Amino acid sequence: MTGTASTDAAPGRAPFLTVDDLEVRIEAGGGGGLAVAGVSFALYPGEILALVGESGCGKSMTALAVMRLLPSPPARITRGTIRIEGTDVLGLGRRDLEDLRGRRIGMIFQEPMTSLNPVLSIGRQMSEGLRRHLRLGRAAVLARAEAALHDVGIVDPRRVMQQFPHQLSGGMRQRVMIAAALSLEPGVLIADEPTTALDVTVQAQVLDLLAGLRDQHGSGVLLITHDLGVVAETADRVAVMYAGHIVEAAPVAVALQAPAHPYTQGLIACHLEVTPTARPVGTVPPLLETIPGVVPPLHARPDGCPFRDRCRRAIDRCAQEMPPLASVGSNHAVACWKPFHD
Amino acid sequence: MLGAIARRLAASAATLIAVIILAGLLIHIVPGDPVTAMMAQSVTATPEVMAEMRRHLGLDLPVWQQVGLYLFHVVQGDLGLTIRGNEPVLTLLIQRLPNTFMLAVSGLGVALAIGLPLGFVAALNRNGLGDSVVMLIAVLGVSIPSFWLGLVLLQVFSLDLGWLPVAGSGWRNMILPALTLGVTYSALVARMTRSTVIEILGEDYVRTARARGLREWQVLSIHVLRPALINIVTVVGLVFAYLMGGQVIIENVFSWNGIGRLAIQAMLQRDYPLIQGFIIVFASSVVLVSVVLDILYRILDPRLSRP
Amino acid sequence: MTRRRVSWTVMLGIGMVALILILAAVAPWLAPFDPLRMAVGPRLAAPQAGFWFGTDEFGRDLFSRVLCGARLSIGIGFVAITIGLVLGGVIGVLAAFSGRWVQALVLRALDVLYSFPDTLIALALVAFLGPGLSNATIAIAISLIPFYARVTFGLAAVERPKPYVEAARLAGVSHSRLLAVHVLPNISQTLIVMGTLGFSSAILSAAGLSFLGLGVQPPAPEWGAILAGGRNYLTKAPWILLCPGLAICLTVLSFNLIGDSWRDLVDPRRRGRS
Repeated sequence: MTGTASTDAAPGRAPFLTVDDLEVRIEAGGGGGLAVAGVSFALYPGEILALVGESGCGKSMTALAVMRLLPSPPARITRGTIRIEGTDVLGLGRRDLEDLRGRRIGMIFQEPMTSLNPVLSIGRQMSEGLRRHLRLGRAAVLARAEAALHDVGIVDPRRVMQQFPHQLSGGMRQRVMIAAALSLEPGVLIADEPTTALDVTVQAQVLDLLAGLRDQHGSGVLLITHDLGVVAETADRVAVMYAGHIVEAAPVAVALQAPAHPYTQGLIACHLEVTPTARPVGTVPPLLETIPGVVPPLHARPDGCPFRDRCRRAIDRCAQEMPPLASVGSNHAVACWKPFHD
Repeated sequence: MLGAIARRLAASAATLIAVIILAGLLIHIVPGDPVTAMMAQSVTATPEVMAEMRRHLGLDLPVWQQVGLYLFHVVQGDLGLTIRGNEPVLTLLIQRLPNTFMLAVSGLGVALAIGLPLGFVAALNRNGLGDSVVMLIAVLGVSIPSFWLGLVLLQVFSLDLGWLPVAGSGWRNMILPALTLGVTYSALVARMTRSTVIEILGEDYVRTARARGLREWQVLSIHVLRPALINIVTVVGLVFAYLMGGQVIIENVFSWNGIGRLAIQAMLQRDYPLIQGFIIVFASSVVLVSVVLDILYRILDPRLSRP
Repeated sequence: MTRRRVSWTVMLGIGMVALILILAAVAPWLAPFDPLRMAVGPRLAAPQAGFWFGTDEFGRDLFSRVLCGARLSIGIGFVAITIGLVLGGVIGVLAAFSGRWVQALVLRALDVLYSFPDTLIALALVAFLGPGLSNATIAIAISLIPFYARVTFGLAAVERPKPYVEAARLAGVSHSRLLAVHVLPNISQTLIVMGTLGFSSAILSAAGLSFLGLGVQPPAPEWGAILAGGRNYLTKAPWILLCPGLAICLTVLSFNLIGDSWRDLVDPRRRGRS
């Protein structure tokens, strides 16, 4: 079993969400494999934990597993535990699970265009969760829904509630999704690439919303993203995923300024390359920096460290054994046989 | 929305004109002389009578003039006179149209009542036992000739058990033909429902609804059923057309006084104007229903009704 | 649908079709009596040893009639499908390789025709052509054209942008030669598989027409025609109703079992809708 990545942000407080040794297998005709291969982390109240990685690294699968919303078949949880405020999520029956979803753990998805039901009004989709979980009267539900829309910066909630998804812009739809999730005041919110489909200006507003949720409600936010810019701006801690494993976990400042894993370092280098604004003015652009190769496909993941074929620092041991996630400093853990700064 | 409906109406009008022209041309595929064929069973057919009839039907004109003339008359509501009895074709057909519509709508109701739940169940149990059973029933359903099913039902319920009358035009007489049509075409409905529901179950918004913690029955009855029903409206028109086609035979099995029974009598007696009229009235009904359903769909789907 | 296993239902369908084809082929030798000969037994006799399906109102052996009827149904289906497939195929390929306007017009016309039930199209044609075996077959063939034309169009449209078409054009191959020698062989295999899909429809249409008295005429042992004769003896001789009816059901079912896995893939009604 790998060591936990719970680099405690606030030791002493109980985590909202703990994931321990989670394994998700995807069955495919002859080419199945582990999409999530033993992931452990904890999310505390009042923090934003970013789960970072390229597409296909297993971060969305991890999030869906926590919600028990994995598309099954082909995906299925084969090992591990998930606890939300002490409740064993994997042991819950359907009705208990339905009570938990939305109310204690909310989720917003990355596709604002398709994640709202096109034939139901916004008002309907805003209020159905409130009616279901809080058992409020009609007027109270409408008031709460309007307030939630107002909180996400929608100036005329009453009009928007009458509208249908196709009448709203992508940014507005994403706000509606966030408002619907937040109106239930869940302790944990999972945000799966909440800004990917949005314009840059809207991105910043959405990220402010998430930060506000953390600061005002003390919620824990699991932010899933591939964008290090988003991480730098919003997250408190970072867990970097590669090919189903968490390879590095650290407070955001440490992870971005002193990454210990070669993969994390590569990601940061790529990010500086594609976003010149992230580079201090006047500095010379770095040489073209990319990580050679691609994430190995699910059915062809080698023994040992899955990153080794793309890693310049790989040693013989990397081919034999997957390195455990081990502490390399305060709140900083890395899964590498030859990390930086050792 | 109004523009789209106008375009739809224009396309329907074009379709009907094409059908009228085809119906007009059909008389020219009659091998030999159509008047001789029509008069074969008549004793009063003197050469003078036949020449008069040829002139009356415009058969002495060039083909394009005949078709033009036919189109000209039809759009004014003149479908000509029947060969037997010299009655106006349109009146005869219109008199029987309510009977046909009543039966078709009842049959459609039965088909939806059976097919929708079956399709839903199959989709929810995708690749499971329920799915296999429903799909097997559906294949069986499309393999049974409707007129044979009708005869078997007639035999069992009217003759053996004596529960229902054999022939007539009361509502009790409608039960068996409606059931026959409904059962036959429920297979088509079940198939279409299944594929639509499977498509919707994979949509992101269904996942969102589940993430919101709605009860599964709420997810299914609101987030899946609503869009599924709206989608199904678009294919009901097609089911209706096929059901109307099957009904032509079924009306004969149950001696139901609709346009289908009239049409078969006309076909057996080679009453060409009446057959042409039937084709046009049938096509108009099908086109009309599909336009109505199209408008209904545009009203039901907020993406179209509220741009 | 990514995986394409041959399911047991398809295997069952193939087995049943093979059996029916064999029975139809050897029917004249297998049939205990001449299907047209009257009074080989008592009138309206119930199924019994010697007359397995019973006899009809003229004392003809129903088993022999149903058995020989298979030849008629399969024969009509085969001829109608061949004609329909060839004509529909020509229209489909020509449309796929013609200009935008012609293509749109042809497709629109096909869609309109396709929205009318094929049995009804056959019925309308027979009404003017006159009843009988050959006219019914022609009418059924024509009623299948919209379906086959639409399917062929779909297949040919996929071929159009392929390099070999361009290569043949550059090599100066004439348009008709390109279609006949280069495109057609590439799609013919799929097309013939699709051809079997028309069987169930053709057999049902043929039975319907004959039942109404507009198809194959008595005394020929066509299944629909036998049913039409048996109508008048529902109470006295229900076996005249059951045996040919079950024969139609089983035959159509076996073709449907084979075609079922393809139908969703080629159904023009489902094409084009996302």
